[in-house]
Amino acid sequence: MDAHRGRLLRLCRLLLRDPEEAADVVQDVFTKAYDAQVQSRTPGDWAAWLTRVAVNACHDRRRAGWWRRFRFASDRIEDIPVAAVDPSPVDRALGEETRRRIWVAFRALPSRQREVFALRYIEDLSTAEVAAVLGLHPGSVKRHLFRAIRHLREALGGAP
Amino acid sequence: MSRCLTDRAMTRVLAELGTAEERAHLAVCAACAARHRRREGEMAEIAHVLAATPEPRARTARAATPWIAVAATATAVAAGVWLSIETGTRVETPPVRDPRIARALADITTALFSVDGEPRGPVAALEPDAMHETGCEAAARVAGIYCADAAVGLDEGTGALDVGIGGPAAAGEDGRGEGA
Repeated sequence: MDAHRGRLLRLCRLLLRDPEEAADVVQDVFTKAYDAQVQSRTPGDWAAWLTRVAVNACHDRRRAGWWRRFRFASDRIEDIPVAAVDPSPVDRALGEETRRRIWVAFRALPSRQREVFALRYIEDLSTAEVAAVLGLHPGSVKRHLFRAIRHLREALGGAP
Repeated sequence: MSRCLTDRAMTRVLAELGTAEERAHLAVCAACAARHRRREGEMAEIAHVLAATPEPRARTARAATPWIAVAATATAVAAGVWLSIETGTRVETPPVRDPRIARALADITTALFSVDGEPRGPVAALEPDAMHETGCEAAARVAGIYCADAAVGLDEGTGALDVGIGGPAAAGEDGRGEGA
């Protein structure tokens, strides 16, 4: 389970934006996993099960807490990300402005496109796996992915 | 397929929506294959940024909040004005029935809102002759309105308005009143 913790935390942060809320969701996911194990409802593929539960939990959070997030958007100093002490070669090559544009473009995507892109390119799931996690038809996943790629490339100054 | 893939077709292939023809072209066209690899590299870069770098602090979200509040307030005010116009709920002032009060109001209006010495609007129709009287006459008339029995005159020494109580008979012949 610990092996999945970092992965789920990263995924939930991408889908939710607020790190604290993402940590809460991951905690809830592991609580559900524990309950499932106690009740002998052990899924065949823990990774897929955890991902599916996490994505659904993020979906519920987004739907329920939009006003709270809007009203109490955090400005605390501890929430400001600290720059990496030793950036990787890729980070050095990309530059701050490009990274900012990527994040802005990603946040501007509709939630479904964001989910599809994150699962496909960051979680490295296949189209069929993404479809299974999100409960969508594979054709829909591909269309969402197409739109997400197009928007991200447009935002980065590339041809759609 | 001999023609190279468009950008849109390239994105379709990347999203696994490409046709068999497009995929076959990618296999034989070195230029398109290179473009495809470059796009895959871009997606990998984006994925790396999203997965491995902290999200920059949103700079516009907080700044937008006051504007949202201002816009909401303006919308509410506009809706209120529109609603009051639509429903006809205006504040109606009752007509003045007492002629003395009406004349007093006319004088005040003349004094305050006339830009060329002439009254405006319905005031002008009230008492045309009264509009051409001198300032002293008007003052005397106003005093007479508020105190019907008052004797009104001007003090010759100071030019100040002298109002005596007790009716016209109480005023002297020269209009100075009892005390004059």
